[in-house]
Amino acid sequence: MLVTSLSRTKANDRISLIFLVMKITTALLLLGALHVSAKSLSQTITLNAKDTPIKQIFDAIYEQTQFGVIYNDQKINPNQKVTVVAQQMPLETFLQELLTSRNLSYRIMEQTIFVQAGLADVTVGNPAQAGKVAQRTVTGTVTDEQGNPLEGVTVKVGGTPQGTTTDSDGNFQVAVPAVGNVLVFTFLGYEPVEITIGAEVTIDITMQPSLSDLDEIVVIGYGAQKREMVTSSIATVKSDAFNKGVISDPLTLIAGKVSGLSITRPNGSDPNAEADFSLRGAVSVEGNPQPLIVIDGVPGADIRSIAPGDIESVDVLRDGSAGAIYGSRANAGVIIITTKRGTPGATRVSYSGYASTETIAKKYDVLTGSDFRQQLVAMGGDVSARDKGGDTDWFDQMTRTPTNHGHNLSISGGYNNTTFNATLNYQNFEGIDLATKRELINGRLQLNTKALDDKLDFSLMLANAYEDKSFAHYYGFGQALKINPTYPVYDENGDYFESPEFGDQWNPLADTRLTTNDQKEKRLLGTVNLKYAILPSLTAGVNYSLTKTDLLGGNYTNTALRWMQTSGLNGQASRSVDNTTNNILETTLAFNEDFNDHHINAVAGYSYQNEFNEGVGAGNNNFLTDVYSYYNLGAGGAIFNYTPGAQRGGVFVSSYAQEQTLLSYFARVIYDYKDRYLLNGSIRREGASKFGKDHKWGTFWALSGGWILSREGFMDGVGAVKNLKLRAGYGVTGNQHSLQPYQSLATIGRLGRAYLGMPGGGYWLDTYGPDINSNPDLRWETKKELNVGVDFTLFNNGWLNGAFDYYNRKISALVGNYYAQVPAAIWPLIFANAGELVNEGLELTLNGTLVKNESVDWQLTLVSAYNRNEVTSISSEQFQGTAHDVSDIGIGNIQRIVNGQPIGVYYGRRYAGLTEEGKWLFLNSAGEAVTADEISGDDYAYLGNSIPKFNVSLTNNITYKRFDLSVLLRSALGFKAVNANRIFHENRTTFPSSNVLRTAFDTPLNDAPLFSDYYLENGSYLKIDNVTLGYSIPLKGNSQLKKLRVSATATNLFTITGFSGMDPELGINTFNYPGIEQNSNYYPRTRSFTFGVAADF
Amino acid sequence: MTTAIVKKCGFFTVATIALMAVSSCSELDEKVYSKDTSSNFYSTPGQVIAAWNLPYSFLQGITYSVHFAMEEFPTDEAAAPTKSGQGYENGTWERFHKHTWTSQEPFIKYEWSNIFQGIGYCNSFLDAMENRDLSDFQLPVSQAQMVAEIRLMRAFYYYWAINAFGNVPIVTQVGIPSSPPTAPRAEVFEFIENEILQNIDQLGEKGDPTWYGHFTKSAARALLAKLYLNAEVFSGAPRWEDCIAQCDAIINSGFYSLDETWDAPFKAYNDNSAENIFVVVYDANNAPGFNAHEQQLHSSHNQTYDLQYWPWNKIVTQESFYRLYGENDFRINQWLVGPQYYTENGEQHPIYGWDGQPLVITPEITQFVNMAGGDGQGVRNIKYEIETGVQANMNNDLVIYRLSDIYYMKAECLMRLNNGVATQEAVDLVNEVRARSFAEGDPDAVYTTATLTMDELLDERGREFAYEMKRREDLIRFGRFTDAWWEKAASDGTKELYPIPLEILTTNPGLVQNEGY
Repeated sequence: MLVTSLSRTKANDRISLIFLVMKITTALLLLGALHVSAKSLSQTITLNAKDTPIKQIFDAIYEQTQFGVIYNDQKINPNQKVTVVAQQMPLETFLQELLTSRNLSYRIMEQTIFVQAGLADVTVGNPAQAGKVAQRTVTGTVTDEQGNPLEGVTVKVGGTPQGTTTDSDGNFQVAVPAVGNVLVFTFLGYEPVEITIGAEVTIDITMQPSLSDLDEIVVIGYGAQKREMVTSSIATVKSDAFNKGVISDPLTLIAGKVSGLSITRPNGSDPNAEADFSLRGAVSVEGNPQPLIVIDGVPGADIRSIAPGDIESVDVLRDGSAGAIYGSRANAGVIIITTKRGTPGATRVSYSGYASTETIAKKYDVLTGSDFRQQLVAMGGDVSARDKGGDTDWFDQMTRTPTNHGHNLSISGGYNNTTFNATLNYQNFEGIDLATKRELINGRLQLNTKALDDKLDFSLMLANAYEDKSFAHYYGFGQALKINPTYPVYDENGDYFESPEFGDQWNPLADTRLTTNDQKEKRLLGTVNLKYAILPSLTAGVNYSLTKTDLLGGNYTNTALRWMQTSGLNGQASRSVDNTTNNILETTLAFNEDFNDHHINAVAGYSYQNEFNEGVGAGNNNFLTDVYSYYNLGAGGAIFNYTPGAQRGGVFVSSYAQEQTLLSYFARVIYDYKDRYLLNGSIRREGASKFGKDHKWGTFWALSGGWILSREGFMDGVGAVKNLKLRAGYGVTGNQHSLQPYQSLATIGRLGRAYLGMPGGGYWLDTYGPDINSNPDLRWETKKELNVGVDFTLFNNGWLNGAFDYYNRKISALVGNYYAQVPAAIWPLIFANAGELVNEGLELTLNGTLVKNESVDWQLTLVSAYNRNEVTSISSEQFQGTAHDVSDIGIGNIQRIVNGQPIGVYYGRRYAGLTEEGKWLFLNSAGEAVTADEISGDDYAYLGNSIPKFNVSLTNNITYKRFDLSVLLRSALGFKAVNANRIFHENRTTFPSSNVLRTAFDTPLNDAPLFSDYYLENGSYLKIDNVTLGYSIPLKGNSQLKKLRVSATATNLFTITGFSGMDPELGINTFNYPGIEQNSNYYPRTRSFTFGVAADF
Repeated sequence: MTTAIVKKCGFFTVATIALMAVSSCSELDEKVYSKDTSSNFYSTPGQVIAAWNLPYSFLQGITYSVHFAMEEFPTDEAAAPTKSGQGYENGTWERFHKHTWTSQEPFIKYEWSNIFQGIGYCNSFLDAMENRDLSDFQLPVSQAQMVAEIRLMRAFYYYWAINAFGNVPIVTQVGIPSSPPTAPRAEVFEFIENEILQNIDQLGEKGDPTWYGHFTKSAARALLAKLYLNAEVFSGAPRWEDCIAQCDAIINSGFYSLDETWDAPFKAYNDNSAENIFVVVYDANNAPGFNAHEQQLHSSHNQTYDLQYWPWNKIVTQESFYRLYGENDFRINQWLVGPQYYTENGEQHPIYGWDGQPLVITPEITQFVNMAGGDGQGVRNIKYEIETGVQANMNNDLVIYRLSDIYYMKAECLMRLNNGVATQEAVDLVNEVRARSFAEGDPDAVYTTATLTMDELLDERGREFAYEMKRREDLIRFGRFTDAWWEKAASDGTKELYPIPLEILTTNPGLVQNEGY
C-alpha cells in the first residue's frame, strides 16, 4: 500500500522539515565524512514482524536501541510492508538486512540513523561512468499485481553497475549504456523481473509478490537459520498452518503437515490418549520411540506443559545431520517448539474459544436382542437359559454426546527493551464414553528484556499446566460387543443387572459407572535464558530450566460392583504419587562473523541434565461405605485383617526412586561462501549414566553441505527456476529413550516369600536375589543417516516451491529387551544391544499458490512420503535370536520382528479354505491344505507389512474475500490391517456364550478363532481429516475490536477405505499393535464438530 | 581481539567456560535408590538368609502354574480340553494331549526359562558365598549347610531339566560362560548324581529348626532315588540297586511314616503330614501360586465352595484314567462327578452349567475341542483339599516327595530286578500303602505276587500319585508314553523329550536341538 503525498499527516510534515536540515548532512556523508558511533556496534535488535509497515520497524529500532531513524517520506514509503525476523541481531546487520534488499541505504551519525532511497554505491546516473559510452534513458513505472505503484524497487542494468530505484509513484529513470539490453527489477517480497529492452524508452513493469519461503527462519537447535541456507532436512510448520478443531495431543497439530512424519490416533478421540508417532519409519524395536521435544531451547521438555495455542511454530529435524546436535536422543527425530513472544508496541489482547461435540463415526453391527433371540431359537435347545427378555444396545448405553470447550486469553506487548506474553488457557474435554474427563488449565508467561547497555539479553518462560483427568474403560467397549443383548441394564431392584451364570458376561455399564480411575497432573516448565554479547560477534549464553511433572492418581472400585462382592474385596481403593524433576543447565558460546564473502556461525556448548523420579503408592480394600472413594485409604478393613483366608488382594504400600544423568559437550560450525556454498558440521560428545561402566560415552556427529545453484551465473538464463539448492548430509545420532536406569548393574531386589522353620512354628520371610539380568555391556543405539535433498522454488513469483529428499538410515546396536541366553542368564529377557534396522525413503513436499488475486487466494500443499524398512539383523555376538514375536491379540502373537522382513510383519497360518463343516483349512509348508491341528509353527509364513509404506496428505487453503476454507486430506497406503473383532466376533462358535457380529452367520466358518491371512485386509485409506470454514466479520473503524473471526471445523469427516474395522488409522509402532484394531479394549472413533471464535483487541 | 574478549567477557565467559569444564565421569555413576546391588548385599545375616531362601520360594510361582502342565497334560491323567469354545488357547492343550507340540509352545519355553532361572538363583547365591566367610554371622544353619542345600536345589532344578529336555547345558555361574554348550543327558545325570553325593552329608534332617520345605538328607535321598529309578532313561544304564539303597535309607531313617488316610498328605494344612518328605510351601496370603481349585473346578463351583472367584473350568481327567479306580477305592473320592450342588441352610441346591441346566459332571468327554458345549464334561480332581471360602490361592503345601512313593519306587526296583515279576517284599510295600484306601477286609485292598504285574503297578502308581506330576516320567519309564489314548494317536519316541524352545535355541549357538524337532 502506498501513502501519497496528499494524505500526509502533520507528523510526516515534521519529518520532512527535519529532512531539509539533513540534506546538507547527507551531502557530507556522501563525501565520506562517515562517523559511526562505536555504540552502534553493540546494539542488537530482536524483532519478529510480519507484513508490518516499515515505519513501525523504525519505531521498534528506536525503542530497542534509542537510535532514531530519519528518512524522507516522499522518497521512502513509510507504510511499505516488510517481514523481518531478528534474534539479537547486531543493529548494523539488521539494517543491512532490512534496507539493502529494499534498495535503501543508511548511515549512522551519533545516535541517528539516516535512511535514504537507493543503494549507497549506486547513484543515479553514476557520474563516474557517464559519457564513457553512448547511452539512452529508459523510464517507466513499476506497479504491484493490483496496479499500485511500488516504491524502492531496484532497477539495474544487467552486466553493468548502472541502476536506480523507483520513487513513491513507482517511477524510475535509468541511463542504459549502449551495451546494456537487460533491465533487472528486484524488490524484497516480490519476484525479480528481467526485461530485455530494445529501442523503446518507456517500460511499465508489474511485479508479483514472491510466494517462496526462503526468508523463513528455521530453528535448528542452539540457533536459527534462514530457510535458504539450511543444509539438512528440516520442516517448519507455523501456527497458522496448524490443524484446527479439538486438539487433545499437541502433536496432532501437525498431523499431515510434514512429509515423513506419521501421526495417527490409534485410540481415536479419547481426550486422554496420546497419538502414535513415527518419523521416517520405525526407529527402535523396543518401547515408545518418542521424538525429542525441545521447547524454547529446553531439550526433553514435556509437550503437555504448554497449551497448543501458545505454540508459534514447530520445526521438525528429520535427518541425522540436523539431529546430531542433540546426540543421544535424536534417533526418533527432534521436534523444536517455539512459543509465542510479545512484540513491542501497544498491548494486545486476544481471545479465542471453541465449543465442540462428537458423533460416532462407525460402530460394530452386532446382533440386537431380537436377532439374538431368533438365532437362539434357530439353534434349538433351551432358549430361556440365554434369553433374559431385554433388548439392550450396549454400545449405545456406553456412549453419550460430549461437549468440549476451550478458551485462550492472551495479553502481549512490550515497551522499549522489554516484551511480554502472558496467556491463560482452559480446556474441558468429555469424551464420547461415560467416564472420561479432562480439564486442563495452563498459564504461561514469557518475558524478554535487555540490560547492561543491551549487551545482556534476558528471557524467562514460566508455564504451569494443571490437568484433572478421569480415564475411559477401554475393556468396557470390548465387553459391550460380547455381552448378551437380551440382558437388561438394570434388574428389577434398579441395580445393575449381572448374569449369575457365567463370569464372562459382566455388565460393562456397571463397570464403567462403578469404577473410578483418576489422575491429577501438574507440569511446570520454567526456563531462564541469559545471553551476553561479549563482542558483537561473540555471545555467551546460559540456559537453566526446571521441569517438574507431578502425578497424583486415585482408583476406586465401588462395593456395588458384583465382582467386588464375589471376590470379597468389597470396595478397593488405591492412590499413587509419581514426581519427576528435571534440571537442565546449558551454556553456549556463539560466534558469528563475516569475512568478506565468508560467513561463519559457530557455537560450542556444554549441557547437563539430571532427572529424578520418585513415587509412592498404597492400596486397601474392604470398605464399609463408598462415600470415601479413594480419599480415605485407611478406612479399608483389609489392611489390618490377618484372619487366615482374608481377602488381602490390593493391599499394598510401595515407594521408589530412580535417577539418570546426561552430560554433553557440543559444537557446530555453519559456514558459507558467497551465500552459495554451504557447509555445516556438528559434533556432540555425550555421556549417559544408564549405560554400562565402560560404555557411557558416545560421539555423535554430522556433516552437511549445500549448493545454491540458482545463484550461479550459468543459471541466470533459466527463468523458471527462482531458487534451486542441492544439499546432502550424513549424521550419527543415538537412542537411549527405551532404557530404564540401572539395567547395567547387578541389582538385588525383593522377590517371593519363603517359609523358614518347623511346621507351624516358623515364619515367612522375604527372599532377595538378582531382579534383572545385568548387562554391563549396555551401550548406545546408533543411527547413521544419509540424506540427499533438493529445495526448489519455481515459475513466476515462485508460485511453486518444495523439497525432495532421499534418505537411508541404518540403526544398529538396537536397544531392546531381548531373549537372554538362558542359561547362563537368569531372567528370560535382558536389555541389550542387538540387531540392525534399515529405513529408506523418499519425501516430497510441494507448496503451490494456485490463485492469488485481490479476492481469492488458493494455496495447496502436498506432503508425501514413501518408506521401506527392513530388519537386517536382530542378533549380535552375544544375542543370537532370529525373531521376536509381538502383538499378542489374545490367541498368540501375530507379528514379528525378524531378519529380512519389515518391522512388525504379520506371521501366521495361510488360509486354504474351509471344510464342508466350516472347519479351517490351512496350507502347510508342503503347500497342502490341512486342518488346523496339523499346522505347526513350521508351516507359518510371513504375510505382509503392517505399517503404511506411503503417507500422503493434501492441504487446501482457500481465502475468498472474508471467507477462508481449509481442507486437509490425509491418506496412508500400502499396508495390511487386521480387524481383531472379526476374528473373535465374526465367529458363530462363540455364540451364544457371547454376542457376535451380524456377519458371523453370513459365513460358513464354524471353527475356533484362529489367526491366518484370512483376516488380512487392505488397510489403505483416504480421509477428509479436517475441514475448517472461517469468516472474518467486518468491524466498524472505531471498535475496540481489531479482528473478529468465527469458524467451524469438522474432523475425521469421511473415510474411504476397504477396511472392515471402525477406523484404519491404527498403531504404527511395534509396541502399539501396528495395523491391528484390537478387540478386547478399544475406544470408539468419532467425528468432531467445532465452532470457534477469535478476537483481537 | 583475544585481550578484548578477556576484558569484556567478565562473569559470563568465566561462568560459561567454568561450567563447560566442570564435569567428570564420576557424575555418570548411577546412584541406586530403591534397590540394592550385589556388591553391597550379603553384609548382614538377614540378607544372607533372604538370598538362601530364594531358590525355594521361586518354586511357588513355577511348580503348579507350569511344571504341572508339562508333566501332566501330555499324559492320560490330565487334560485341558476346550469347553463351549472356552480355553482353546490357540490349540496349546490340544497339541500337548496329542503329542504334536512344537519348539514354539510358550509353555515349553516357560518351563525351560523357569528351570534355568531357578538354577541362576542358586548360582547367584553360590557365587556370593564363594570366598566369603560368614562365621561371624548368627545364622540358623551353618554357611556350609546353606551352600549344600542350594547345591541340592540346583540339582533338583537340573532333575526337572534332565527329565523334560534331557540334553542341557551345565552351568554353575551366573552369566558364565557365554553360549554354554549342550551337555549329553548322561553327563547331566552324572553332574546331578555327583552334586547330591558331594553335599548330602552337610545337609540337615527332618526335625531340625529349619527343615520344613528345605532340602534335608532324606529329601536329597528321595531326589537321588528318583534319579536312579529313571537312570536307564536318563543315562542308558539302569541303577535299580542304587535306588533301593536310597529308599531303604529313607524308610529306615525313622523320620517318616505313612499317614492314616490316603488324603492326609493333601489337606489344606498338611504341614504335619507324617509321610511328606519335601514340599513346596504355599500360603494363600504369603506364598501364592497353588490354585488347583481355580484351574479345575467349574465356574459354578464358586457356590459349592463359597469361592470368591469364578473357577476357570480348565483341567479335567480323561475317562479311561478315571475308570482305573474301583468304586470301593476310597481314592475315587478325589474326583468330582455327577450332579453338583451347593448347600445352604443344610439343604442342597443344584448349581447350573453354562446352558442354564443343573450341572452334572460326566466322566465322558465328547471331544477335546468342543466349541458348542461340554462345560460339565470330565471329572475334576479335588485331591488337594479345597477349603470353603478359600482365596484365589490355596494353603495346601504341594507335595514333591512322600514316603508312599518311596515304597512304590522300591517295589518297582525289586520287580525290575526280578524280570518284572513281583516279589513278596514288593507286594508288601505296595499293599502297605494301598490298604488304607479300602474298607477293612476288602479283598481289593491287597495285591499278591500274581496280581501285581508291571502294568498293574503302573496303574496303581496312577491311582496313588494322580496329579502329583509323576505320570509323564512313569509312562516313559514303563514305555507307555507313546501309546494311543482318547484323541491321541500313537506318538513318536522323540516326544519323550521336549524340544529346546526355539527362542532359546536361536539365542545360544552352543545348544543342540533334541532329535525329532
